[in-house]
This record gives sequence, C-alpha cells and structure tokens, in this order.
Amino acid sequence: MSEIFVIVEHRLGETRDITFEMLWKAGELAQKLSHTVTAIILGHDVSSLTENISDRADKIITFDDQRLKNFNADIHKEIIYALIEESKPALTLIGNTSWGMELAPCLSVKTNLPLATDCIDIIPKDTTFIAQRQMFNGKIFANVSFTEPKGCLLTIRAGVFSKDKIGDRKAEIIQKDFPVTDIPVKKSFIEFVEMAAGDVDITQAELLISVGRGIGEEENISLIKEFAEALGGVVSCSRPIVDKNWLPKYLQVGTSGKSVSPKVYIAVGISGAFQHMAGTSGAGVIIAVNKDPKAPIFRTADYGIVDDLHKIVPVLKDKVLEVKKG
Amino acid sequence: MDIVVCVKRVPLTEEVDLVIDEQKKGIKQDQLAFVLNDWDNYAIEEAIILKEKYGGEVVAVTVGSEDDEEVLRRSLAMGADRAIRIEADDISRFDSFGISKILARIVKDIPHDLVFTGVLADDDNGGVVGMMMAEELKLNHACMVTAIEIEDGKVRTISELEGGLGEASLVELPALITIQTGINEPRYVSILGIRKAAKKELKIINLADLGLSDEELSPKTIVEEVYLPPETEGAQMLTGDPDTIASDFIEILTKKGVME
Amino acid sequence: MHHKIQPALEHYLGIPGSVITLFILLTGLALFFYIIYKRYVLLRSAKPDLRFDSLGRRFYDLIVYGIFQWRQPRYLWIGILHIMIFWGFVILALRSITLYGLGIKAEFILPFMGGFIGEFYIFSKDIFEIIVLFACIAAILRRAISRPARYEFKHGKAHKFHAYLVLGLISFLMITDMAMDGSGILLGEKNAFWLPAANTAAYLFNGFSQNTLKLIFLWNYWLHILTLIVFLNYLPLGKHFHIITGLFNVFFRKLKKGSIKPPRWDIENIEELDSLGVEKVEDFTWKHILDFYTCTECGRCSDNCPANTVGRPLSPMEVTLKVRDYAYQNNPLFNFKGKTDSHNQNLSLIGNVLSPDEIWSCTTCGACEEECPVFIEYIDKIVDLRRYMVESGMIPKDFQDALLKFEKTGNPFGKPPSKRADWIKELDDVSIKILEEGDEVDVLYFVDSYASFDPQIQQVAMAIVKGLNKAGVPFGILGPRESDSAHQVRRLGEEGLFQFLVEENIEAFKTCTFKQIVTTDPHAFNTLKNDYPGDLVVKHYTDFFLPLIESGRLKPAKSLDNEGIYTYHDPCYLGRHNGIYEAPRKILASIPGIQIVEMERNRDRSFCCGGGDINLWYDIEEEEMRMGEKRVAMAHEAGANVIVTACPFCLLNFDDAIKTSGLEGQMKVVDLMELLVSTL
Repeated sequence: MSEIFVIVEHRLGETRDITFEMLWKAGELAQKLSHTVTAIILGHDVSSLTENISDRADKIITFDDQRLKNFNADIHKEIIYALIEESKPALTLIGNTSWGMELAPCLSVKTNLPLATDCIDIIPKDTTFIAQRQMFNGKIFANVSFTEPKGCLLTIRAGVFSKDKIGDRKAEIIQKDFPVTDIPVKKSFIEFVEMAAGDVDITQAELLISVGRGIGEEENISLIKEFAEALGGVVSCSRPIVDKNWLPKYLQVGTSGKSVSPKVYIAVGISGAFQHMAGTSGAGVIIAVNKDPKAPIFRTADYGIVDDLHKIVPVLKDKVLEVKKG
Repeated sequence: MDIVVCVKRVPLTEEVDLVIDEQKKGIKQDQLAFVLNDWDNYAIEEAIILKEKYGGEVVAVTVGSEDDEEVLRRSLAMGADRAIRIEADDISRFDSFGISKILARIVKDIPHDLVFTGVLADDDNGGVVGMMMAEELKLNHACMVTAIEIEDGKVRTISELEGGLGEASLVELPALITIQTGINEPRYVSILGIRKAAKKELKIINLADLGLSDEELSPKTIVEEVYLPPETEGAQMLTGDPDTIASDFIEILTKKGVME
Repeated sequence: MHHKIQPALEHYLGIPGSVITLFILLTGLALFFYIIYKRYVLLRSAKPDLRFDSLGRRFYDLIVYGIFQWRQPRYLWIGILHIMIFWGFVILALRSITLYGLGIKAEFILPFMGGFIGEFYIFSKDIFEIIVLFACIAAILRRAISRPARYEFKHGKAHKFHAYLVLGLISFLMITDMAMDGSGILLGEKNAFWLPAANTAAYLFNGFSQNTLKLIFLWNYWLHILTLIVFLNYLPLGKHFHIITGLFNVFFRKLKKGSIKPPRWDIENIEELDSLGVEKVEDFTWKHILDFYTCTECGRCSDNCPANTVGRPLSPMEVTLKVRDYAYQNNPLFNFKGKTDSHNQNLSLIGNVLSPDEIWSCTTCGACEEECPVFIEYIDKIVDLRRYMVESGMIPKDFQDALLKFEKTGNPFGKPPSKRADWIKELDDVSIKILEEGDEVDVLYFVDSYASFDPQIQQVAMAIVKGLNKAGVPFGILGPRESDSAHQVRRLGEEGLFQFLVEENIEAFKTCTFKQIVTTDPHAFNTLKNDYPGDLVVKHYTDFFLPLIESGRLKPAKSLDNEGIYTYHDPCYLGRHNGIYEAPRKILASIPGIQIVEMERNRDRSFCCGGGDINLWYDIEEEEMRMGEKRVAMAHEAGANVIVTACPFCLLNFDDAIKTSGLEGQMKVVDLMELLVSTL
C-alpha cells in the first residue's frame, strides 16, 4: 500500500482542470492497486484550492508561503524531491503542461526516477505500469514500460481523463512549512502576458468554423470567411495558420490558444492533432471536413465529410444561403 | 554570447502513411526522408539572431551516426560556427535519460552562456531532453520560450502557457532554454549554402571517450510496443453526392439550433 | 544642293565661320566621347556575357528588328510613327554630316553625293523632313491629349519632359533645315518642283529681302548645327540613349528563348563563387547594363505584364529605370566636389531600390521580352535577383517549405518517391511500363510531379497514356526514379537545388535508351529542352500527338457539335517561350464539329494564367485580382464557355478562377489531351 502523488496545478487562484483529471485517474488506480491518493499543493493562500479537492484525495500536503506565490520549477523540484524521498510513492503524476514540462524532467534527474511524458493512459500490469503515449504527432501509439517502475513519474495529457470525482474521500490535510534552507532562485517571475484581445472572442461563439493547414494557401482562407459569413458563425483556426501569420493569435484554438465551447464546431482542413482538439472538448458537436479518410480528427469528431474542402465547402455554403433565403 | 544548440535529425512524416516495422518497436524508415527537427530549426535561428546581435560563438551538437551530420551541416549553413557529432551507433538503445546525459557531458566542455534545445522532437514527442540537461548541468532554465531578450547579463524570456497566456521571467545566465515554434522566422539555406558550409569545422567525438558508464546510460524506459491508432467508432460520415451531404449538414446545424 | 551662302566663309567678330564650326564640332564631340566613355566604364566593370555567337543570325535580326523595326507596329499607329521618325532620322543623318562639312569647308559635299544619287537623296530627305515633322507633332499631341496609360509610372513621376524635349528638338531640326532650304531657294539656289518641304518654306519666305533671307539662312544654319551637337550630347543622359545603343542591343539580343542564364558565364562551378546572383548593379552582365541604358520608356513591357495588370508591385519598365537611375547616380558623369556618401552609396539593390515582393511578383511569362522593341531582357535579371535573395535567406517561409520538400522527396508535396507512380494503378485497361535499368523504348514519358500526385492532373497523365497506347507507341515512365524537372526551382533562384535535381534526372535518363522524351507539361518541356545539358530530344505532348493525328493513327471521332464554344489559351511556356502556337490549335481543330473562337489576346499576346511557378506556394499580398480571373474574363468576353489549355498549371489556375469569379456553370476548363482522348 503506497501513495500516488498528484502535483496540483493551479494558476491565479484557480485549480486547473488537469488537476481534477489526474486525481480521477489516481483515484481509479488507487482502487485497483489498493494505494492512496496524496495531492500536493504548493502556493500562497491555498485554502480554497485545498477545499476544492478535499473530497478527491486521501491526503493533501500543502505548502503555503509567499515564496510559492508564482510557480518556480526549481523550488517545486526541491520540495517535491524531499517528499518523494520521504514517502517513496508508487507513482507521481504531474500535468503535461508548460509548467509540468519544465518541472518533471528536472525532478526525474534529481530523483533518478524514470519519466514518461504526455501519457494518455496508465495501465497497471503485474508489478509495473504501462504508460500509453503517442509519437509522430499522434500518428503512432506507444506502450512504454519501466526498468524500475517503482516511483516513476508520469506527465498526463490534459483533457484525456474525466474530471469527475471518483470514490468517496475526505482528505487528511497536512500543512508543512517551507523548507528552512532557502532555495536559490535564479529565475524570477516578472508578469503574465496576455496576448492581444482582438475584436473577436471565440470562446463566446456558438458556431465556429475553424480552418487548418489543409487550406493550402493564404488566399483560400477567404473561402472559409465566406462560409462563416453565410452561416453567421465565427472563424477560428489551428496553430499552423497562426505560425504563418495568416490569422491572428486570438483566433487560435488549442492548448496554446483558446478553449472553445460552441454548440457546433466545424473543422475544415484540420488533421485533428491533439493539441488542437484539446481546445474543442467543450464543443457540442464537431463536424470535420478533410480529404484524408485516415485523418485523426475523424476519431474525435461526431460527423465527418471526406472530401477536398475546396470542392465541398462552396457546395455547403451555397446550400446554406439557399436555405436561409427560402 | 556563446550558445550551444542541440539538434536532432528526424523523419519527415507530414504527408506519409507510417508503417510499423517487424519488431513492432518502431516505424519503417527506409522510404522516409529526413530533416532537421522543426523546433531545432527555430532554435538554431534564434541562436544565430543573438550571435548577430551580441557576437560570440554558436556550436551545434548532435548525437548519432554519419547520416545525422546532415542536420549539423544545415546548422552550419545557417550560421553556426562549428559543430560536434557524438558518434554512437544505434542511438535507439538510449532513451531520453541517456541522451540528455550524453549531451550534458559534451556541453559541459563547451564554453556557453546559453544552451538551446527544441521543446519537442518530431519523432518521439518526448520533450524532456532539454530540461534533463539543465538539471544535469545545474543550469538555470526556462521552458517553451517564444521570445528572448538579453538584459544586463540576464535573459528575459516569455514562456508559452496555455490558453493564450504567456509568462515573462528573468533568468540569470548561464541558462538552458527550450525553444518553441514561431519564435522567429528561420532563414533559408540553399543547397549551395550547405555545400559551402562543409568548410566549417565538424568534429566527431566517440561516445566511449566521454567517460560515461553503461549504468549511467542504461535506459529507464522501454518501448514495449508501437501500433497504429486503434480504429475507434469515430465520426459518423456524411456520404452521397454533394447535395445530399449539404442537406445532411444543414440538418445537423438546425438540430443544434445554429441555423438562424 | 549648291548653296549660295557659305557659312564657312562668313566672319563673326573676326572669327571665320569655319573656325566656329570646328570649335562647336570638336568641343561637342569631345564632351560626347567623354560621356560615352563614362558609360562604357560601367559596362566594363560588369560581369561577362557571351553575345558573339551565331553572328549570321544576329545580323539578320539586326536588319529585321533594328532597321525594319519589326516589333514597332505591335502598337500599330504609334509604331508606324516611330518607324517614320527612325528612318527619317537615319536619312537626315547624311544631311547633318554634310552641314558640318559645309561649316568647315565651303562647297563641302560627301564623296558619293554627286550626280543622280545626290539628287535622289535630296528628294528623299525633303519628303522625310515633312514626314518626320508631322510625325513628331502627332506624337507630341498624342502624348499631351490622349495620355497613354503605359507612359505613367506606378511609383513616382514619369520623365515625360524628356520625351517632349526630344520631340521638340527633332521638330526644330526639321524646321531649321527647311528654313535653310526655303531661304536658299529664294537666294537663287537650284530648285526642283518635287521638293515639297523646301518649296513650302520658300513660299513662306516669299517677299523677304535678300539680306533677310541671308540672315534666315545663316541663323538657321548655326542653330541647326548647334542644336544637333547639343542633342547628341543629350542622348546618353536619358531614355534617348537608345538612339545610340538600340541597334547594339538588338544585335546582342538573347537568342536562346526559354532558357535561364547560368549564374556566371565564365565560371561553371557555382561552388567557386563567393556569391550567387545579383546584389549590386555591377553584378549584372554588361548586356544587362546595356539593357538599362537602352530603355526607351515606351511602357510596352509593363502594358503587357500580367503582374502589373493585376495590381502587383511589379512594373518591368520601372524596375529597369530604377536600376538605371541608381546606376547613373552612383556613377556620375561629373564628380563635382567629390560627391560622397549620400549619393555614391552603391548599396544592395534589393531593399534599397527594388522590393522583394516586386521581384517575387514575376511569373516569368515573357510578355515583356516579347514586346520590347529594343530587346531588353527581364527574366534572367529577375532570376539573378532571386538567386541573391535565396542565398541570403531572404525568402518567404512558404518557399522554404516547398524547396525543402523538393530536396528531400523530389516533389513539392513531400510525398515519398516510392509513390510517384501510384497513379498508374487507377488505369486497369492500359499497361504502363516503369523503366528499369537497361530498358529500351521509343518514348520516355516524363510525367513530372503535378501529374504524378495531384488528382486533377493525374487525369491528364492518364489521357496521355491512353493516347500513347492507342497509337501503339512503345513508351515507359521512370516512376520513382523520376525527380521533378526543377523548372520552377531554377526560376525561383535556387540554382544549387536545380543542379542537384537535374543531376538526378540525367543519371536516371542514362540508365535507359529512348529516342525522345514527351512531357505532360510545358514547363518540364521548356527546361528539359533549354536548360538541361546534353541536347535532349524533347517534345511537349501537343507536338508529339499532332503528327499522329495527321497521319491517321489517332482519329478523333466523336463530334462536339453544339457541345460548347471552345477557346484555346496559349500557355506561356508552350507559346511565347517555345513558339508552339499552331500544333495545339490543329489538334483542337481536328475534332469534328468543334466550335472555336479566339480570344483577343492570343498566341504571343496570350495573358498568363497566374503561373506555374511560385504562384503555387506564395501569395503576393498586394494584388487586385488573380491573373487567372482576368484571363477567364477574357475567355468569357470572347464568347467561349470552355477554355482549352495544354498546361496543368493553367488548368488548376483557371479551375480556381472560375470558382472565385462565380462563373461556375457558365465556364469550364479542360485539358487538350483529355478533350482529345474523350473523342477518340
């Protein structure tokens, strides 16, 4: 009977969704393997954060200190390292987020524990675990095991697991003090930077028509704009379109863009790479248009049209205009 | 501003259907073309931009076989001053842990103010080598950086967070930074440019000479199996002639209440 | 004409007229030769060019295009006016020389001008004086009243003053000469009734006293010879330099149309070069610099340039003039006060004189070069400028992606070469041989990348293959061993990659035996024929299939009567660059019942579809409409509802344009081969 550590990720006072997802999976594993779930919160003024998850963990260890107000991977690393040394958990789960991707590898080297990143499932197998992850930008799945599985670190992809509560728990809360020895800080937080707000807020849109790399050339984007206009919807896009400066950043949907929750999300020429689809988990219905029948998006979409977008989008647009007129 | 950039040669898989090999531990590579990892391309460009602004030396490093020298030559053509290849046969026997130890060992001997790696590699999508190196070398670090500025001997970075948010930080030098795509517009290198870059120094160091023990480099993770994505139920396909598809499409939108 | 008054013998302030004439002549000529020398020095500092080959052909072209001004009437009336002024000027040149002679030695006459020849000459000169005078006046009025658009500049103001000045000067020269003749007659010189100019002037001066007439004569004489020497020195300063350099420029014209010049004519291995392409003015070859000198600012190139027509930043004439003016600025004729820095900078052209988008706008269609009456070249210059931009990394990311894919996979899509021949699987009834090492066939069918991978163009390839099969021609394709022809790569400026791909193809060609290569695409045809080493026998499919139809081996049987009105669009690389206009038309005409119309712009005046080059991978932001849309509108205007083309890129561009113009249902585009095969 060991602990499963879950490193709580929070920002600006809010518990991030990935935390709930990790706690759910940890809870599921705990049930299967008779382990307990220990959540670790590092921050400042963490009482509400603690409250938020008090029914999802067996133990919550908190460090509440001014010096933990802003995330610093080095500080987190030192503190978590000490906890791992002390408790020797079976597993430690960290979110595969920007912060997690900075923390986890450093922690792995410091603790000399194995690390698998961006996991989409964790499968217990005999005495070990199989971490399921993707390679080649989602085209290949891989099952990864560990030479010494005890204590392995796993970063978990956001949006894969459920955010629900699992089991019936009431956490034992342990408040710890910031370690006596000051941890040298060679990186200081300056500020958060918001990208340009722009004149459109895609997070509020009910109908999104999203364009991806399959559009080919910049001038074809006008096709999508006309389609959106006919439908009365809003144009959004995937990352490559923004990287090329064809559309502004505030229209980007995905992990490094925005999360949207329209009633209908129409994805045109988008392959369905995970980082993009992660932003659409709130969508009611996803309709995908892509000329490649094997495109990953057809796994996540609700409806699919396999056709060259340059051919079918004008047809759809014309029909929409026809129906709206009549 | 001396900068070391770690680069990797990866397969070009954008338009290709991947095929699993016989052992089921990897993909068939014989029909694939290879290129410089996209993130590393941005990293080299960023290093060159800083060099052009502040002077110093840019060194490109990779671990691999002779075929992998191609990405070093591209880095040299873009403006790196010299390159190092750590000769190691069959680098697939190392996992990220091992690779990061090898790279850390070589970087230790190269004078550096900054060390760049890409955030991810196009093949394994691991995203860990950079930060592992930072820990090995006890370097200050910033992750997923989309903007770099040098300010009084420190580096001001903007890291890409989720949801369109960025985090500005001030990091003391020397530092390791993982570079995110879109940070700059990498310059083109022509075939002629690459041929001319052959004149620049490309040193080959044998792994054995680095003094790393087998134990240190032994993999902690094992790829048990790779497979193509399972055929899930997936989307309900709209079929028929374009007119029928359009009608079905309208029906879905109407049901969801967005056809006003 | 025997003059009563001898200017040489007159005295002014004690100085004999002969001395004055000599002084005017010698100082004028000294200045002139100095100016020419300065202009020559710049040519000398430029890069070498090989223009002394095929002398016979060059002399022939000089006579046809130089002397007979064959290109001028492409703009009919002004063309004729110009020819008149040109010939008039040439004829009057003899008169001018005689006048100087007269100023130095009384009764001077050119050796062969005695007797009948002299009389005939005087008659011609007299007629032409009137013609030239009226032509100049007509030209002035035309410029001032109808203001042709092509004389305007996109950026900045045009140098119209120079045009008026020179037309005025020429008119003045005519008038002074006529005045001399007129007053001469009234002073007792021999007259003939068939000299209208002289007689008109005489009529106007009738009644003047002898003294007045003598003054008129002398004044007009001195004004004439003074004006002429000033005029001569004025020429190298602006667009009228073409009066001197024009014939040379025609003589040194580019003979091998369709090809692109190597980076350097004198150095074969590009790795030995420090830099590639043109960064500064002196990186151009001397012929290109001569081109800059020779521009007449007529605007015919820009008038026909499709990029200019659709509002892109490129206007060929202005490229020439901007570089010319920059070159003159940095190589001043007179360096007073040693003008420094701000004037004499000689910086890189791109970024300071020309913008990158200006240079990327060009589709290399060749319309400009086809029009220029003095044979100024543009495509080689644009490619040289692009070479510099590519080597300096000044290239949009979209190109980089395409070029990387070319390098890694031999096609711009990034698809694996092993799949290059997958399209043949779609054809069950036709067998296609993929050539192995040592194979022998009649025809090597060079498919190229678009026909191999783009579903729409694969249809064209299949049609060609069906045609070859039906005609019983033994052929094969290289399949995975074929690399892109690299036509676009070269014209994009990536010379190293071009050479690399050419080598790959040449190696593949060597492994089998064939009599000729047939291509799907005019671009591949053009580069295999004109750029590749080794004198390959290459034909575009139109040239190849026409004899088969004419000999009856292929019989178009199905009638297209009432199946639409067809018009043929001449692709740039089949038509203008390689002169193939009639073969496709004959093929089209061989289809029974077909109704054909011609667009107003046809054959060498065809309007580019938008390009099979960089248009595919990069967008010029500044643009009013797509070239394809413009051309589709032209087809519509001509009354056609089907555009027939023999180039896959034209096919793709028109297909898009029909959709974006909203002409779907009213217009469609079809490939010639597909059309032909459907009727067999």
